[in-house]
Amino acid sequence: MRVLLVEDDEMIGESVKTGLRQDGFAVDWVQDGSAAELALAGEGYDLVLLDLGLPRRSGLEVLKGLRQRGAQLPVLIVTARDAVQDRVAGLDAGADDYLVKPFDLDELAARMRALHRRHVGRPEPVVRVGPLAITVATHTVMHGDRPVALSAREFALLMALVERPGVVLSRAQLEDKLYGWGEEVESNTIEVYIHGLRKKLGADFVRTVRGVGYMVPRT
Amino acid sequence: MKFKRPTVSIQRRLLVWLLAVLLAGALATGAIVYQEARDEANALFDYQLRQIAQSLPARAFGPLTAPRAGLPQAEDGVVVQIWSLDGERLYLSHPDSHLPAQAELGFSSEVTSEGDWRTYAALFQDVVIQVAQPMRVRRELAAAVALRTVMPLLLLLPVLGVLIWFTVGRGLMPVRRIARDVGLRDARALDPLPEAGLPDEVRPLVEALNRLLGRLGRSLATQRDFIADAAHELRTPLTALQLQVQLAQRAQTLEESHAALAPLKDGLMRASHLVEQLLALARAGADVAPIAFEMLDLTEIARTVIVDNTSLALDRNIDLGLTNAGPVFVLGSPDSLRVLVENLIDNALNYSLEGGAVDVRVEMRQGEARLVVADNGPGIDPTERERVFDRFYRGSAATRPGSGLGLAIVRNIAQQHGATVELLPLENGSGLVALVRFTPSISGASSP
Repeated sequence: MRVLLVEDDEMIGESVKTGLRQDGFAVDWVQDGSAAELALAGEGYDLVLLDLGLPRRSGLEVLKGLRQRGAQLPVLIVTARDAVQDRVAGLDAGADDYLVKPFDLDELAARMRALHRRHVGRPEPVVRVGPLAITVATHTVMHGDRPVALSAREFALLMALVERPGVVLSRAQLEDKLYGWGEEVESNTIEVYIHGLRKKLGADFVRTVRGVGYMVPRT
Repeated sequence: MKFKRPTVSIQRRLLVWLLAVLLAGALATGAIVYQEARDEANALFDYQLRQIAQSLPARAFGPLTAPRAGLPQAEDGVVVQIWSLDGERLYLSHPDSHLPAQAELGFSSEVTSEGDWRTYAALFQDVVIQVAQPMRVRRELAAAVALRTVMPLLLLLPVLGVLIWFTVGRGLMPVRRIARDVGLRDARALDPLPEAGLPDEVRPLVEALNRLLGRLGRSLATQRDFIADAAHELRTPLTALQLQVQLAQRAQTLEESHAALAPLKDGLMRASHLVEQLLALARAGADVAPIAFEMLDLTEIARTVIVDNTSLALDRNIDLGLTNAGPVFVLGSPDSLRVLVENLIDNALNYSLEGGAVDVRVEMRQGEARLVVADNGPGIDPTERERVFDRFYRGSAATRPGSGLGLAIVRNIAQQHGATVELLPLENGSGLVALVRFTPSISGASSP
C-alpha cells in the first residue's frame, strides 16, 4: 500500500516513515502543503496521512483541494489539534478519520488498514482469495490450515495483487506500491518477490501476463 | 459553640452613635430649659419678694413671735424678718431658720448652713424689713420644668433605637445583596456585578470591583490561552519521542536499537529546550521589580553569549562576531538580558545561510543603549514582522525546528527593561536586523 505522509515536523516525519516502512507500507514523505498537492497530483496513492498545521498551504486547504478534484482516496488527519471543532472541520472537509498526537505507531497502522479496507469495499479484516486467508493486521497468511511465512515485502506485494483480483498490475505499479521515494529498487526485485510468492503459495497463484505484468485470477 | 472575634458592624455602630447623639441632645435640651426656667423663676420670685416686703409696713406689727395671717406661707419658703434701726429684731416669721441677722439693703444672695438664700431688704420709716427665700425652691421649680420637657424624649429612646436599627438595616440592603451575589459566584464567574439601582455610597465600591473582575478575567484568559498553547506545542516533541521510543522497542538487533536510540536523544533535547523556553517566557512574563536591576555591561553579556555559540557557528560555517569593543552600560537583570541576547543570536544563527555572517553590535546612540544582531539569512516578510513576536508563531520561512517562543521571550524581557525590539531588513534589503533600544533612563554611561 502506497501512502503519502504530509508532516512538517522533521522528527515525527522521520519516525513515522521508518515505522510504517517496517510495517510494509510504501511511504512518501513531504513537509509542506504545496509539496503535498504536487505529489497528490502525480502519484497514485492509496492513502494520505495529513497534518493540519503545515507551512505554505494548510492541511485543510490541501484536503479541500483534493476532494474538489474528485479524488476518492482515504485521508487520515494526524494532528495535535484536539478541539471538537477542529475534528469536525477536518471530517467535514473530507477526511475519513482523525488521529490526535501523540499517537501510537501500531494504532496508526491499524487505522490505516481499516480505512484502506473500507475504501476497497472489504470491511472484513480477513481477505480470502482461493485457498488463502490473509489477516492483514497481523500479516498472517493461511493456506488452508497451513500457515505461510512471508517477508514484509512479499506480504505487501501479495496484498497489492489480491486487492483487485483479475486486474493486471505492471511491474512499475507494483514497485510503486512497495517502495517509497528514495528507497533503492533493483531492476529485478519484483521478479524475485513474485518467485518467492509462487514458491510459498503454489506456481499458479500469481499469473504472468507477458509484456504487461502480473495478476491474481478472480475466483 | 463558636467564639467570634468582635466584628465591626455599621448597623450596630450607627445605632450606638445615633442613640448617643439623641441622648446628648435631650440632655442639652434639658440643661438649657433648666437654665431658662431658673432665670424666669428668679425674676418672678424676686418680684414677689419685693411685693411682700412692700406690702408689710402697711400692716400693724403684732407680737414678735405670733404668726400672722397674710404672711407668705412656708411652702414658698419665704422668711420675713423685721429689725428696728438700732438692730433689735422685732419680728421673725420662722424662728427656727438660720438666716443671717442682718443683710444689705436691696437684693442679695446669702449662703447659710441651710443652703443659699435670696434676700430682699428694705428700709421703711424706722424698721428694716428683710424677706428671704431659699434658692432651692427656685431650682426645684426649674428642674421640674426641664424634666417635663426631656422625659418624653428619654422614654422614646428605646423606640427610636428599634426604628434606627431597622432603618439602617434597610439602608444597608444593597451592600448585603452585593455580598450575597459575590458569595454565590464560583471562581470562573467574572462577569461584572449589576450597577443599576445602587446608592451613591456603594456604587464606587461595585465599580471598583467590576474593574478588578475585568482585569482578572483578562489575565485569566491570557493564562488559559498560554497553557492551551503550551500544551498544544508540547505535543509535537512528545509525539516525536513516543514514536522514537516505539521504534527503539521494535529493534531486533543491537545495531537497529542503536540506530533507533540516536534520534531519541535529539527528541529529548528538543523537548527540554521547549520546556526551558516556556519557563523563560513565564519568568519574563512575571513582573520583576526594577529594584533588582543592576548596572550591567551589555557588551560583556553579548561577548559571553557569542563565546558560547562559537562552536555551533563554526559547525555551520557562519562567521559570528562582535563588532564593537567598548562597554555599554544598562540597568537590568543579568539573567534576563542574557536570555534576550541568547535568543536573538540563536535566531540569527538558525536562519543564517551556510557560509553567512552574524554581526552583533552594542552601541550608545542619542543617549540610548542599542543592541543590534544582524544576519544575512532570508529575512522576514514585512507582513509577518509583528506576528513573529506572537507566542508559538512560526514564520512561513521557518525551516529549522524551534519552539516559536524565542521572539516572544525577547519582547517580554525588553518590555520589562523598558526597551523596544524592532525587526528590520539589512541596508541592502535582504537579511534581518534585530534592534533592541533601551530608553535613555536605563541606559548608563558609555564609558566607565
